[in-house]
Amino acid sequence: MKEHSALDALLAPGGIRPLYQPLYALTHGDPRLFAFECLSRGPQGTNFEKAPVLFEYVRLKRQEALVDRICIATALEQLPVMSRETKVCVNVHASTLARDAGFIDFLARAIQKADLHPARVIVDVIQHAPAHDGDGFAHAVTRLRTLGVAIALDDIGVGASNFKMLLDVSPDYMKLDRCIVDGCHDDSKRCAVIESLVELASRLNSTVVAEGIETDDDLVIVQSLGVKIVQGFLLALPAEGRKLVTCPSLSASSVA
Amino acid sequence: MQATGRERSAPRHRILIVDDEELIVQAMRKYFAGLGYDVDSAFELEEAQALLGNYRYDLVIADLRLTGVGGVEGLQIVADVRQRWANARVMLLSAYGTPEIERESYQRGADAFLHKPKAMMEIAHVAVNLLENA
Repeated sequence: MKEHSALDALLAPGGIRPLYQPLYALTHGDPRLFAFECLSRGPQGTNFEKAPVLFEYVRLKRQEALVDRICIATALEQLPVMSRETKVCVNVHASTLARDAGFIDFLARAIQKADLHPARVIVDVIQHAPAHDGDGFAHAVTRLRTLGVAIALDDIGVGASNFKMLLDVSPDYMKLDRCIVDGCHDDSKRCAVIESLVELASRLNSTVVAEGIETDDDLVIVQSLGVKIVQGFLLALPAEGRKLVTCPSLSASSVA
Repeated sequence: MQATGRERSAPRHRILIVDDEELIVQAMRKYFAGLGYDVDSAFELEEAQALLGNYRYDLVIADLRLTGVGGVEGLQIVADVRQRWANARVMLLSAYGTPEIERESYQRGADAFLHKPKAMMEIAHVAVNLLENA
């Protein structure tokens, strides 16, 4: 029998590897670097190299809060060099916000340690199941606002990221799941959903982020539908912080 | 151990092997990969469930006991496979299989229940038959 579970390996120093994927703003001319999303991967050569497997395992082990903390601490320690205008997105489970009463204090310390102004941080709330503790979740959202970070709601359009979550969170950013975005250039139904969500975001004082942009055609279409921020393999792959060479405009940015 | 001609011509089905014994997992991975299958593996129930939640497997071969004395996690894996993939095949292996456990395994939807120890070739023979008759 293996003496240690995979969880032990993930929780050990170096068990979580941070990667960073740029988000680009489409506001003026060429896409311009807007933010880095901090992503996490498990040890190379294991099943946990794949983020969906890693986080499903963590959720099954009911260790979201601990792993969220490790992911954020590790990611903020190894941030790529960037301008002070560039924002930083960190992911957190809704269940962590609901149940981990010390999480906001932890986040505040981690932001301070990374020498980031809270206004540069976007907390990306991922919601794979109802948070259960609605009061705890609402309190955490209020404290995030007080801390001064922005809030994004991830995976809009799938799973538990539903209209009630939009009302509960009032996110600054609405991240459309790639299953809605991918292939929109020749799919009128996807275009209708995206256009409607852009309109909804506008009325809720939120901004749509389109994830999963993998083709020029999709990029052109989402821009024409009013999407202002984009992310995806077409623009940049996730990479280690030290391998990212960033310049303000997309055409001059690259992954080494 | 030599693979039979029939085994060598097997299509590239995807197999998940679940066992808490690292040496067994390594041996089975190597054997089934050598037969031309795509093989993933997991050492514990939740790791297997996370894989089953993200990938489709044609066959799952799981040990009944994954957590030491008294464990019957393999039954949960059978139930998970049946819930997600109606056409997938699932085989349980156990050194502790009682008739009651074996009966429950089939009731939950297992396609085969093998009592350890079994030679790799015997396991492979059952696996190939399950895949060819899926």
